[in-house]
Amino acid sequence: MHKYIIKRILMLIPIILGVSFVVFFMMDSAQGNALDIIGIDYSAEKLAELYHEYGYDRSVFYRYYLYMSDLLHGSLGNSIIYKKDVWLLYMQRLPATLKLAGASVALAVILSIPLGIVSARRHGSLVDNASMVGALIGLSMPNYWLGLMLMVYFAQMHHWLPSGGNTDGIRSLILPAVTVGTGLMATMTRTTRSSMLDVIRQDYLRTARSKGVPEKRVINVHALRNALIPIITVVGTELGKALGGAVVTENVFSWPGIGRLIIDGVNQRDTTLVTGCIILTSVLVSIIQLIVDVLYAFVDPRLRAQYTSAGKKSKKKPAPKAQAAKGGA
Amino acid sequence: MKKILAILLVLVMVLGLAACGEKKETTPVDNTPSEPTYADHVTVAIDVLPSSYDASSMAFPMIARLVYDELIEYDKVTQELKPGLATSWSWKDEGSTILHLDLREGVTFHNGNPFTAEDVEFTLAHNGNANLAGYYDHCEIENDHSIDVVLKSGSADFVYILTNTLYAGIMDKESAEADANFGTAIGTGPWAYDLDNTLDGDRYEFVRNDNYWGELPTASLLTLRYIKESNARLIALQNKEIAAFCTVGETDREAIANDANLEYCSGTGVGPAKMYYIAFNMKTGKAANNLYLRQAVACAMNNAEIIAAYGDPGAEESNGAFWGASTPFKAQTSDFQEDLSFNIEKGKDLLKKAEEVNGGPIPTLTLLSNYTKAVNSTMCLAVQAECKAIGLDVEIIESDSAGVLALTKYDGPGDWDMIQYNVPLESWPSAVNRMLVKNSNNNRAILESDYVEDLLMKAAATNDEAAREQMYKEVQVYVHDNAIYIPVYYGSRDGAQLKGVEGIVWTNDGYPEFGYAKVPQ
Repeated sequence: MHKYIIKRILMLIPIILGVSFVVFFMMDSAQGNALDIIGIDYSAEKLAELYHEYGYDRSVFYRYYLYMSDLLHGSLGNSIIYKKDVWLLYMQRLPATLKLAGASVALAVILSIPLGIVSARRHGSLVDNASMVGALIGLSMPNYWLGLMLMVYFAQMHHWLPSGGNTDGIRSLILPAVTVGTGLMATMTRTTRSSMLDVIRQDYLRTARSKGVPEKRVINVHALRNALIPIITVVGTELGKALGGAVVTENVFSWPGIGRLIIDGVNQRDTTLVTGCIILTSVLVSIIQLIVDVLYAFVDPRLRAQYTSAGKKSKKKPAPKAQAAKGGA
Repeated sequence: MKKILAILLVLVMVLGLAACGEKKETTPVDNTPSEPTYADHVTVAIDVLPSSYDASSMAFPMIARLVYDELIEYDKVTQELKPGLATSWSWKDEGSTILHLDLREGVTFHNGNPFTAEDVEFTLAHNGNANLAGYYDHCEIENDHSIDVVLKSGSADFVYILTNTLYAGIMDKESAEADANFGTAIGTGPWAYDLDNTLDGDRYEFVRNDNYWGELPTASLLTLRYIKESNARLIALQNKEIAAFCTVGETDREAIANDANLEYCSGTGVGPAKMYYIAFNMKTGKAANNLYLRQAVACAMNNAEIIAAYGDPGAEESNGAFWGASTPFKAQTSDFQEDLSFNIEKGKDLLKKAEEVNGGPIPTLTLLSNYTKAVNSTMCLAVQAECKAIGLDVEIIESDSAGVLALTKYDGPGDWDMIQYNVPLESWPSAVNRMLVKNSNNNRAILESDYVEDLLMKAAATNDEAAREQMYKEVQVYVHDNAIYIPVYYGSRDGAQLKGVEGIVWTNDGYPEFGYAKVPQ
């Protein structure tokens, strides 16, 4: 198991290289740079000094070389716009993003898994159809629109909740979490339902019922546990998306998260900031995916057995044998 | 299961009924308490990202005016100069090249360091702004509170340049040299940065500078929240999360007018100074060497219609003069040699002449626009339609702010013919220099005219008012008759506040000043 984890951690190196290369060069190919923005009223001489200081008078390859050599020394560089270490800026914003992503995924999990189970159990019923229509609506509603509608209803019309920011504790969190959570909930409900439908027809559940196991236990223990793998996959993926992709919601609600930091960085053409933030987010998402993979083993004894037997075999035999053992598990 | 369904059904019904119910009439806040008390913490919203802790590289003066003091203050209502950190000033020579300043004593920076002439010298030398750096040469310090500022060439307007916080907001030399990133955040102004509680790009926190030499603000804490979306700013105000915000979205004006608790605010004092214009690329554009073509476009443009299309309530139509609305020496229509006012038939005739010069039909002209503000798109569409009316095809190219800056900078790629843009112009005549001189990043027409630059330099240097007026008018006539820039209108700055809020200065020539806001509790 630990070998698998180390392998996955090592895979972060090409991810960082690939992401930094793509983002750095994409940012450079966009029109304009941060120095033109901060130096809009500067004299030509002063602007030339700045260009020289940040290497903008050299080729993009030279700047990428400088960036990567800083990265190898453990520095993500300084943001041109904020004049602050990118790591510090990222860490300032990470708690808000984790809070929003965590709350929206938790909301989605709490509501969507029971709803998915009920839908699967009552396949074809009114509840099933209603929840699927609801999920479809949730999926097709743009976050931007939903966020604004929630803001208008709960903040503008009734003054029940703050319209944005992150200064009012849990009250500030409700509207953005519901906005992000609605889309996630829709995806998770559909996944839970289809996964449960697959499992619910299996022979071993019929056997359990015929042996007199109570229906509640059949569903909640035997069926749900086996249906969890795709659900965990979706939760992991959606959490990763929420961490890096709640850009629209963060903008609508002026939520001080990473998405908004990246968007502002893109608008201000702050290549160092954007590249650094995307690298860190990629690492974060990769780690979450790794945790999800490890979770599989805890949820599914068959996979745990695979990891264990593969580990044991690989100590004695070469890798192909380990693969054979995996196949036979 | 039935229970859950029943609860859900009831919830849906309650929410549905609430939504269908008659909208509550908003009642005005009673703003006349017998003894008004004001909030100790004021929160307002801004629409632009304050990108730096250094006045000289801030694009907007809202924060700079809180933290830094100018050497000389400019009263926007009376248009008079007042003492700031300099208590008196005088030119030492006829040609306006040496300015003597006597500095205020007993002033301290937010970190407790005393304000001296060395801080003035450091700030002026450090500031790379073209408006200042174009004239500033060096300083000669007489003593801690007396200094001579020596200019490269004479400028009677230099005292006005010193009134702009972005050009000459005085910083603490010692802290700025010790920490290039955050040492510049130390000023002498009424508010000091609270960097520990500031979240870059989200909210900027300030604490009152209780040692301030001037009038102290009423509140002791001030928060500027960055809210990019205009409707989100409005909702935050309606929800009383903020006391005021700057820049009203074009679709939000009606909502503000209909809300009894809100007040629409636009500039006071000097007239609107943000000039919206169309400029031709005089370096590489298709119209650069075709005067008739530029004049044809000028005649096609119906400024009144453009203003009506956007609906800026504070707009003032341009008379064609390339100058700030309240700037002295502004040319009158009668000064111009060419009549380039809206005239479709004349536009068509000029286009025919332009085709003769071109040796064939004029190819489609490209018009560059910054799509991030609705006013720009509206104006470009109007210009496109108006050019079509005289038989000229115009293609609009849209980009964001950074893209437009890159395409139109002085040594930029230049593959565009026209640009729609705007610029805030200060009230003194030489403020337009940055739009017309070589190597200035604000010279969007990329004009290289020795004739214009020579006139501008001479006009700035002379103290003979009549001669200055004549020279500045010649510049305006040249720009107008050659249709280099086509000014459309002067737009106002606006914002909104809760009724009863006092002390915010809504200026036309810049952003509002929130430092002395008083919010009734």
